[in-house]
Parts: sequence; structure tokens; C-alpha cells
Amino acid sequence: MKRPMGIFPSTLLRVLPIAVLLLIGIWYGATLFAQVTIRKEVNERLSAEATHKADVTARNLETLLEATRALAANDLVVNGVIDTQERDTYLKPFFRSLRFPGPPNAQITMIDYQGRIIASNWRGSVNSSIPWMNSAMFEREMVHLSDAGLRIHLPIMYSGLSEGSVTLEYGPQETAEIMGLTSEVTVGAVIEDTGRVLFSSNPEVAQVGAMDPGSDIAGWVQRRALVPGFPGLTVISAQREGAAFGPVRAMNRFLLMAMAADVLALVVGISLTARLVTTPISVLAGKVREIRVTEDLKTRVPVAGPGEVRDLATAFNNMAGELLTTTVSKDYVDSILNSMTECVVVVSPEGTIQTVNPAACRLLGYLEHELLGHPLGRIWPDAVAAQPSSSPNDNGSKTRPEELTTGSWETTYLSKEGRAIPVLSSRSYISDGHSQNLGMVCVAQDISELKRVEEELRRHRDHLEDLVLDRTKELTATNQLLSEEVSERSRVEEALTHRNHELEALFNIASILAQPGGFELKSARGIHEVSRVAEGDGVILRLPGQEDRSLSISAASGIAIDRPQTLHPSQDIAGAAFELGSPIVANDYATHPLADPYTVALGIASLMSVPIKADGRTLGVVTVLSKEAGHFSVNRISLLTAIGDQLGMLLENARLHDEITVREELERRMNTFISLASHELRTPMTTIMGFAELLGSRQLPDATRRESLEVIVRNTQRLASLVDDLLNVSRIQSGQLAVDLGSLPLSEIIEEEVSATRTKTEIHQFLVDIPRDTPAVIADRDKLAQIMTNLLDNAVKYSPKGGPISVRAEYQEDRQRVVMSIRDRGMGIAPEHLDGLFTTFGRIQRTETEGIGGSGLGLYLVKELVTLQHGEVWLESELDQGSTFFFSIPTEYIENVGNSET
Amino acid sequence: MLKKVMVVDDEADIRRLVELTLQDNRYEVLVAKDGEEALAMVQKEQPQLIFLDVMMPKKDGYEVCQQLKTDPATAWIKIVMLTAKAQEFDRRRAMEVGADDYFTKPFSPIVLLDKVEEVLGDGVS
Repeated sequence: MKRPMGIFPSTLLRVLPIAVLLLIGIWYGATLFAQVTIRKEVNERLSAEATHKADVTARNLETLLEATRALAANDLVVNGVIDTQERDTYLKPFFRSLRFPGPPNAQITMIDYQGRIIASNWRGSVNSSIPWMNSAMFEREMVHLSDAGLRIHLPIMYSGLSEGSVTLEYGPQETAEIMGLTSEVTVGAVIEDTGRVLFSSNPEVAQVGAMDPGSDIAGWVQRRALVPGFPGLTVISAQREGAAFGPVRAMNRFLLMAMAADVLALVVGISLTARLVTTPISVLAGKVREIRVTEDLKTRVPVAGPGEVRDLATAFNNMAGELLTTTVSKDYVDSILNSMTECVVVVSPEGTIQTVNPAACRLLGYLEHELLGHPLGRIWPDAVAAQPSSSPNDNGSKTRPEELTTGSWETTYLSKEGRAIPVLSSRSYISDGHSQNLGMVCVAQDISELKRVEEELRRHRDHLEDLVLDRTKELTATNQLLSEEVSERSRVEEALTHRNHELEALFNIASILAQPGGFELKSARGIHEVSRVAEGDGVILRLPGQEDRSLSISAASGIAIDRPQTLHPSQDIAGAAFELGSPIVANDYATHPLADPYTVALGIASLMSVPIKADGRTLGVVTVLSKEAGHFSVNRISLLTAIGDQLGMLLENARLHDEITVREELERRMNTFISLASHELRTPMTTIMGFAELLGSRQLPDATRRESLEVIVRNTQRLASLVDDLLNVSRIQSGQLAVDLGSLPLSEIIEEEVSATRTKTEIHQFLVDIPRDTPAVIADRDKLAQIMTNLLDNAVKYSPKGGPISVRAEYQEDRQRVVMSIRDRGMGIAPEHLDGLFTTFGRIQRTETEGIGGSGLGLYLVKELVTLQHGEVWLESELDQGSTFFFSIPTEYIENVGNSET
Repeated sequence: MLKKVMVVDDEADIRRLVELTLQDNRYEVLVAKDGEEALAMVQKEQPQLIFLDVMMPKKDGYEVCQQLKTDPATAWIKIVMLTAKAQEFDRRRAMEVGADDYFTKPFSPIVLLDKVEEVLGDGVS
């Protein structure tokens, strides 16, 4: 248990908080009172001071103004302004001797209407202009206050006109005096209505001027007063808060120090009082501890200290004396023996019982006197023989007591009725320290109950062991059953996992089926899925060709096997599986009779080929390769077989999809072609019909008749050329267009075509550049002419009016060809429209080729015709910059691999 | 004052045909070669009738028609869609965009004149 607190801390704990609280209360009250009183006093004082300063300022300013006015009105001064003579003779001496009310050191300056100083009472340079002067200053009175000091400026009037001015200036120190701002306790400032500080006795007062009147922020206390007679001027009297409230601070400090001293005195007092009591008590406690250790009851405590403590020491000493007289009696030992629950028997050296305790009598059923003096053998027959089991005495004969071993062991005591009582007995010899045997003490504990319990426990244990044995047998049997069940379950689970795996793979393939995409994409995805499921090293999909049934690789994943590219049915395992229509597994591929040595060389150890079927037809064969021998377990085989069927459906579906896509595209192009061709035919027809009817129905002016006929002729030509183009296209597409190649002079043909085109248009300029040394080309004359016509027409159509069209030829000797280029300055073609420009009706969306006629067949024909003559055609174009069409014509005969040459 | 008829077609010959047909018959004929030009001109000229070709660059006839019919300032103008028979002409679409009538190419100038008079509610001159 924790010792309670001593006298000193407990007293301190009770007294100190009360004292401190009381002191804080007094301190708070005193401070509050002082603050309120002093604040009031400070405010009153500052107000009074501000008012006083304002009065002083007003009075002084008024006096100075009056004096300056008088000066400005002085005849001498007025004359001095106008008369140069006056200045030198009278004015300058007058100024030097000038006496002025107010503080000394006033600088008085007189300026003429040109701003030149003409006289002053200070050593200012005459005739120099004054920087702060402005023309307005000649007109009106001005009192100017600033940090630099006070300036009073008055015009000197003569006949109602300002002829010059008088300026009175004071430095900061004098100005402070004029304003009454010389106090050492407070600072002062003069401010404008706007709060701007005009003049201050202390630069820090600028902050005060910017403050709200009456507020005590920024560490200042301030009061203000208006300057009477000078509207707009306010005097501030301010004092630093620190200075203003100095007394409160000092009192505060003093009170805090007094409080600290009080507390210190209190602590010291309590400590001294406590010490008076605790010292003797500590001595007393020390003595008591000493007596307990030494058992020296003769020890005495010094009697000292205050009365109560003295009494306590006396009482203690008396008690110790009394204790000393009391001896430790035999009763003490007896009472110990009596209180013991163990049997105690003391035996004399001769072996007779000297003492027994009541516990022994009770156990053995004797009365004490029945045992005293009798040999120990009466109650403990084995006393001599009995030995601790660790060191059995094999002597067996009667042994002297001193030869008996000490220790404790289980033995048997004999009761009065002759009943054997099991006991845990110990014995020890009594010695006086000089090896003199004084006898022996036997202490025994009745353990008959313990023995009984032990016996009981043993019987229980035996029983339990039997039970456990039986239960173990039972459990073994149950375990057997359970393990059988578990293995059954795992077999089922395995089957389920396998099935799941299979279903997942099938599901994945079905998902591919549902995804968009053509044959190539889907077969690739399908193969990928197979590769994932089969866990092999590679998968190959082989499909039969269109004509023969040789199998070529269509898709592959994993190990890239490109050989043999094609297989004949029944060649290799894949061919055999395809031919057979059922899967073939080779778990030891190398030894398989159909094994392909190239595949074996790649390290393929096992292989499985699964035919892909749809609607009973075998579409192809998928082969899974593995570098691991025996890769294809029964489960894997069944899984792959199932996938084979699914894959068949997938590929069939993808093939149909592709077929439909191609057919749709063809149909769409056909429809577009028909629609455009119809429109192209119908427009000239409408025109021809309409104009023809117009001609027939009415009397028209000659000009209109002529125009109508022209329109009819033009549109008829347009129809004819369209029909020609269509025929040519049709011939090309059916491969009926033949070329008659011969060596031709290029420049001649080009010139012919250009001039033919030129007759059709009057507004375009043609620039033809064909070098003289351009060799003859190998071409078909008509076809070449047609190419040029088409390209030139095109250039005319797409050129702005008058835009130049350049026609150039360039001989490329190294490539044995001439490259023709036809360039226009038209709208150009955007890059995204370049593709398909040379196809039938490849004309760009009509929205961009507004109002420009054309079948859209021209460029297609150009391309086909150039190609027929072993040339190439291409173009360069930039939006809004124009296009350049190029085509090449060979200059030498080219061995024709095709079949169109005649 | 002559009634104004506008013809909008990308083919110059067809514009000229309509112009010749109508200009001697009490009509002032305005021509535009595409939808945008037509829309700009309509605001200024306020024609009573517009022949509008369906297949035109930039803006097709349907679009131009819808724009004119949804603008309260031009909704009153009669619009006749000009279409080739074999061309994909959607009669329903023409009605949806508010066209008053349609006229097929190739056409006879006399029938065209009749159509104008019919649509504008003029009697035989």
C-alpha cells in the first residue's frame, strides 16, 4: 500500500491554492481599478492638451498672418515691388532689419511678379526662382504646413493687381513652437480633414493621424481638437500607450512581485512548522525499526521536541521496558506444537518417545501419557528399516538411532487399534552444535486420504485408457470412411473444374462470335483462345484452298511454324485429321509415323490436330503443339475436341460475315454509280429537251435562238462524251481495250491536244514546255491523246478564270521514260480525298466541286490508259494552291508480262 | 410590278432555260447557283416563288427549303422542288421541310409556265 502523504505536502496542498486564489483576486481588482482611473485621467489630460494646443496654434497663426498682411501692405514693400530704385535703396535694408512677432529665425522672402527673389531677411540668392512657386500663389493668401515647416504666403497688391508676394517660412522646430507641440510628455500633430498629417512633432505620429479619432489602436492614445478660425485644421495630442499607462504597469509589476513573495513566505513557514513535528517522529520510527532487527529491547528513544512528540517517546520507552521483562516461555513451544496439524514425535537418543503433540495422539488414537517413555517402534515399527527409497539400508539389523538417515519418505505408522496409517514422515536429529546427539524429531503427515485418492485416480485412469482405446478404434474406422468420401469429392470437383474450363473456353469463343470483325480477326482471336485453353506452345490453323484441297496456314499463335506452308490431305497429322474428320493425338510426336521432321526439329514433343466442322463439313484443322511429351491428357483432348466444333461455327460465321460485307460494298458502289450516271445523263437531256421545246413553241429573238441552239449542241456533245467514257470504262473493265504501241513524237501530240483544248476555252492561258531533245515515246497515239484531253479538260475545269495551265515534259534517261505534268492553279485536293481519286466516279463530293460538270470517269480512264501503256500516274496537290497531275510514258519497248499487247 | 420567280440550280443551262421560259411571261426571273447564294438573295429580293433543285452542292434543296420555311420572314414564299424522276427524290421529305409542290426533270417549258401560274394562283394571261 502506498504511504499517505507527509505533513508538509498535505498542509501545502490545502493552504497554498486558497492563498494563491485570494492573491490573484486582490491583484485583479487593484489592476482593474487603476486602469479605469488612469485611462480616464489620460483621456482628460490629452483632451485638455489638444484644446490648448489648438488655441495656441490659432492664436499664433492669426498673429503671424496679421503681421504678414501688414508687411505685404507696407508702402515700402509695395513700392519695392514696382520700383527697382526702391528695392536697392530702401527695401533690402528694411528687410534685413525687419523684426517679426513669433519665434525668431523667420525667413521672409519677397518675390516679384516674375517669381524672382527681390528681397529677403536671410541669405537667399536674389533673382533665383523658387521651386514651389506657381502662378496661383500670386493671387491668394496661403498657409502651408508640411514636415518642412510652416509657410505663409501673401500676394502684394497694387491697384487691384498682384505685383509680387511675401513669404514667411519657419523651420520644423519653430513651427512646433507655433503649434504648441513642444511638450516632452506627449507628441502632437496638425492634420487635415482628410486625416493627412501636415506637420508633426514626431514622425511616428503620422500613424496616429491616419487613425480613427478617439480610438486607441496602434499603441497610441490620442485626442483631437479643431483649430478655431482655421477650418480644416485639427490638432492631435497623442501619447504612447506604454507611457500613458506606465503607472498601471509599474503597479502591476509591484503587485506580482508582492504576490510571489507572499507565496514564498507561506511555503517556507509551512515547511518550518512541519519540520518541528516530523524530525522527532522520524527518529522514533528509526528506533522501532532498529528494535525489530536487533531485538534489543534495551534501546531507548531520545525524549525531545514539542510536548505531544515528547509524550509519544516516553510512552514508547515504557512499552519497550515492559516487553523486556517478559521472557519467551515453554508455553510458546507447546503452543506451536499444539497448533501443528502434522504429528510431531520427539525421541530421546535412547529411542524412547519424549514428546508427542496432540495431532499425533489424535492420529494414532493414544493419549499422550500412553506414549511418553515408550520406544518409537510402538507407533513406527519400521522406524529403523524405513529409509528414503533413494538410499535403502540393506543392513536390516537393528541400527542405532544416530545411524538412521535423515530425510522424508512414505512409511506406515501403527495406531493403537493396530491399523496401519500411511504417512509422509521426516526425521531430523537434534544437536547442540557439539556433535552431541540429543535425540530425534519425527514429523509425519497423514496421507491415507491422499493414498485413497491416488488409488481412485489410478482406477479412473485405467478405465479411461480402455475407453480411449475403444474410441480410437472407432475413429480409425470413421476416418477411413471420410477419406474415401474426400477422394470421391475431389474427383467430382476435378471433373467440375474441367467442365468449367471447357464451358469458359466455349463461352469465350462464343463471345468472339458476337463481336464485330471479319474472318481474319475472328480466326486470329479464336486461335488465341485455343492457345490459352490448350496451354501448349503453339497453335496453327490450316484451311483448304479454293481449288485443291491442300491445307495452308491461315492463322497461328505461339511457336511460329511456316513450314510446310501447304499440306496435302493425309500429309502430317494435321492432314490426316482433316481427311479423317476426327481429332488425332500424338503424345509422342517424334516417333509418330506421320511426324514432320521440321516440326520435330523445333522441339515439338506432342501434338494434337482437331478438325473444324460446321454443318457436317470439315472447314479446316487446328493443331496444338507442345514441347512437353504427353501434354494431351484425356481432359485436354475432350476439351479441344469440343472447341473444334465451336471454332467451326465461329469461322463459318466470320466467313459469311465477310461475304456479306463484300457484297454490300459492291452493291453500294453499284447504286452510287447508277445514281450518278443517271443524274449525269439526265441533266444534258433536260437541257436539250427544254431548249428544243422552247425553240419550237415561241417566236424568239435571233440571239436567243442562237444561244438555245448552242446549248443544245454543247449538251449533245456532253452526252456523247459521257457515253464514250462509259463505253471505255466498260471495255476496260471487261478487258477488251487494246493498245497499239508505236514510237511517237511526243511534242507533236501534246501541241495538238493543247491547241484543241485551247479552242474550247478563251479564258485560260497555256504554258507548254517540252524540251527539243525529248525522245520519242512508246505509246498508242489515240490513247495518249485521250489521256491528254482528259487531263487538260480537268485542269480547265478546276482552274479559276484566266489561271495559267502549265504542261511540261521531262525526260528521265535513267528510267527510260518521259514524265508529263499538267498543272492547274485551282482549288487543290485535300489529302483525305486523294485515295480513290482514280476510281470510277471518284469525283470528290459534289459539294466541293460546285457547278463543275464531269462524269467522274475521266481520271479513272486516265489511270487505266496510262497503265495499259506501261506508265504510271500520280498527282501532287495542295488546297487552294492547285494540283499537278503526272504521268509517265516509256521511251523503250517493255517486255510485256500481261496479255493486252498486240 | 412583275412577280419575282427565283430558280436555284447548279446547272447553268437549266437556270438559263427557266429564265428564258419565264422572263417573257410577266415574270422577273432571279437565278442562284447554290443554296447559299439563294438564301442570301431571298432576303433582298423577296421572290414570290422559288424553283429549288434537290441535288445541289454545299446545301441541298431540302435544307434550303427548311431554312426558308422556318424563318417567319420567308415562310410565305412558295417553293417548288425541282427533281429528276430517277433521282432519289423523297416526297415525304419534301413535305416535311414544307415544300409547296414539286416538278420533275426533264420538263417542258410550257408545263413549267402552267406550274408557275397554278402555284401563284394566276389566271391565264
